[in-house]
Amino acid sequence: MTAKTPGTKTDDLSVSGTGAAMVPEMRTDADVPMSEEDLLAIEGLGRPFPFPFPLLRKRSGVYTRRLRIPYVERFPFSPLPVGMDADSMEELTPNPEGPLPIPNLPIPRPEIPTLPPKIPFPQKYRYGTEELRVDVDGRAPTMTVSGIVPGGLFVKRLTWIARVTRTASGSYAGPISYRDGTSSLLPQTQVEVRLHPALPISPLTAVAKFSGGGATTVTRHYGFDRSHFREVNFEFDTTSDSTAVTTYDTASHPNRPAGLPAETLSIESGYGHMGIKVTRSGDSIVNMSAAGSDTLWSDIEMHDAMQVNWSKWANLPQWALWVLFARQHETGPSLGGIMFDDIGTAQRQGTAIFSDSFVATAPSGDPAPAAWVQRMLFWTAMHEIGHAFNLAHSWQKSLGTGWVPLTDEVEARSYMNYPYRVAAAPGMTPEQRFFSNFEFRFSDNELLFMRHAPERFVQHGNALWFDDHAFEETRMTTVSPFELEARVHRSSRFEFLEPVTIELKLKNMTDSPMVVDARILESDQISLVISKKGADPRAIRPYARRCFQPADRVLMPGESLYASMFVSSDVYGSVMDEPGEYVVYAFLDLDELDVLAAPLALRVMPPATRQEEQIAPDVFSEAVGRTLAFGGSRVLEPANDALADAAERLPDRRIAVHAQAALGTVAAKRGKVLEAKDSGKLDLKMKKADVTSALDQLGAAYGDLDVAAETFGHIDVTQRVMNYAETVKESGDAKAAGSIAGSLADTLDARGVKPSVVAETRSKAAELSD
Amino acid sequence: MAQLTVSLEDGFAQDHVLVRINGATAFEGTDVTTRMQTGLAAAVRADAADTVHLEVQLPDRGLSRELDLDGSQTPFVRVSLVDGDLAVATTDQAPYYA
Repeated sequence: MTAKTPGTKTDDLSVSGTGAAMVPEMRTDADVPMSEEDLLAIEGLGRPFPFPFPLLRKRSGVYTRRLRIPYVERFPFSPLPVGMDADSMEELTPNPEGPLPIPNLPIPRPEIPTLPPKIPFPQKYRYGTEELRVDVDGRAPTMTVSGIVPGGLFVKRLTWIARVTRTASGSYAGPISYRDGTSSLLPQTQVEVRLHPALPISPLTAVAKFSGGGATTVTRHYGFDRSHFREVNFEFDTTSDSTAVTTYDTASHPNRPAGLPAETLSIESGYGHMGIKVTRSGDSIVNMSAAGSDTLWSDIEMHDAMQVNWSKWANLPQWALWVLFARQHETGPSLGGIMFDDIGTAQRQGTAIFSDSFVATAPSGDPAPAAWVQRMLFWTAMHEIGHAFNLAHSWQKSLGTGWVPLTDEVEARSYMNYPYRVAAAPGMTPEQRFFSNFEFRFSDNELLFMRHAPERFVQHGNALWFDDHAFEETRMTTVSPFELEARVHRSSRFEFLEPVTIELKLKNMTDSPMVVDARILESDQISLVISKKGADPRAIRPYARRCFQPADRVLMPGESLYASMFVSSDVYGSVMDEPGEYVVYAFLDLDELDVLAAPLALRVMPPATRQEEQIAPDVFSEAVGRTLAFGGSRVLEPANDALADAAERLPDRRIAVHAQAALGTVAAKRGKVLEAKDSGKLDLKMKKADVTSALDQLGAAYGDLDVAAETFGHIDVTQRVMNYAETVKESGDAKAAGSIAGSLADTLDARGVKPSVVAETRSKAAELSD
Repeated sequence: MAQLTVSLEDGFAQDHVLVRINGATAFEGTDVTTRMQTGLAAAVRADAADTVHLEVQLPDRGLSRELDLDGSQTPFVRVSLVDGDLAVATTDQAPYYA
């Protein structure tokens, strides 16, 4: 039985679209805009084609359209609007209504200056790309159309797949039979794609009509982007006692399909024919002289060698893999190759092919033994790399966690089948029968997977081997020169009523100095979203936005920038006013790059006493939130009263520390206040300091420096306590001031703060003592 | 004297496996698991007389299979767990894995 599948025969009319001449970009906003979400396709591109051009041209490949996506989504994230007139356009203006509703506060509002119902924060946008993957012609088409609709950082993007047939009118249509991600991004159930032009005299475009599913029909326009479906980097290293075989002359062995094109296949072109563009990097020789007599390889040794020798090694998902051509595995000659990288978090990045194995010995009587060996080595390399793309053996498709229900393909003429496992035929061994009609390809289902499955299932270092997981997906797939960390230097458990301050750290992860703005972590390029378990995520809108004069800061390799951020409340009220689990998401907008921190999990404990419950409405008021965020207030008397009450009634709780700090800070120095006269005019007054009260309050707040450091964080407590020490010195007690600063240095040292910070604090303590 | 190779291939998942050749235990493993990227869990090689009585047992699953074979003719035995039962095949062709 011959396992023929559509597209196995070379299509003489199909030519891969790899042109060189450039044509002007087609910038037609001929797309259906999206209401509410400010999404607008802003580009439809044509791709150059060679001139003189072929009469007929392959049109399969990836088509794209650009989208503008709100940087911080409103919640709940609305589905893409449908039903707009195809020719209507949406202006590129921010939504004046503001992205977030005011939360329904469960407590009465105190009398404070009324905020406008919605504050028009300028919305920031980033650009995303929607893909339409058309797989209907060329070599081995799977008659599939698929797409990727970008979501947001907290809305998982959607991958959808439709198996299509050609209609009488020349379009390709079919039901959307697979979805992965947020289905509401494309609720329609049918797709019809028309490719333009019919003749290759203009740039390629695709028009997709989505209909059905009870949703309004929408039409989208895409421009041709590329003919390949994936692009992967391969790096080949060869041990000094082995030989790399990366090519095969398909005409060199007489046992082959009659119509098999004669060509010298390389690993690159072999995958290229399958729609996977391969680039190469950094081939090198692994010197085996130090191994002595132990030249066999274990999986662990290969994994270690990968990390040392592979120029692109990273414990991250990436479209790159490493191939080692070695002599023999420790299990012996029966193992011709292996995808050894099934350990750790980033798997499927390394493969090995063993030259001194069964592949090196042609069967007795084979008419072309050298070609047989070459063919087996080539087949093994393609096979192992196929595993790195997360392809299982042909007879194992139904095992494990398939991305879709799969059936075994025991007779498949695929790189992923063992030649000797197919059925024999009269006068032919299984292997002879396999190669008699093997066309050096993968099966249709395997091509469907490699070309159209959700990226994380296919990408190396992403989904675990043999396993088919919006914020984490984006974070894990973003390769950045920086690492952003959101952290607390303490237990993640916060007392009820305890204000929450986190620390941000931006680290240069490269080997070269990197320049950033010195105060980037305090700017509006930093965004925080907090999600309480069971509730929608909420973007933090700080009480104040600061615009700093740009100042470059050079971060040397491994050096970091730090900042603290108060997250308990924002302009819309308390954020963490209920017991429960919270997750803090931090991301930094570096123009062309988003740097995302690993989510920070925190927990707010239940009230410990009845008194905490009683004063909670006052503590969680907007006024108190503002007061604590700014470090104190001379005018928000209700807030000061609430804080004083909290300090008196709950002296042993962390809220008392914050309350006393806020009250003492403003009392320590005189400050300007605006008073409104009856006439409506504003009068500027200077409020006097109350140093005695300040020292009492601050002394109580910072009496236990370890507690203060834990609740304020290291950055804030350092600044606060040094200010306190300054106040003590100004009151005339330099010795005490120096002692306070010295104790701070000891506390920071004991808590593992950077030695440079501790040293600086001690130096200041000495100055204060003078 | 033939060298017999018994290949434990597909379907094994942390299984207790016993391989006996002519009454002697040639292999016992308590965590025999198929590596999906090779389709092989373990390979047992043993010198054996041309006439071989082979037993493959999975005591925890209550599975057992016995067969007699001529090691000089079919020195390779491939064993898999298929649909909860042992499938055993003998061959003169050395299986290979990749």
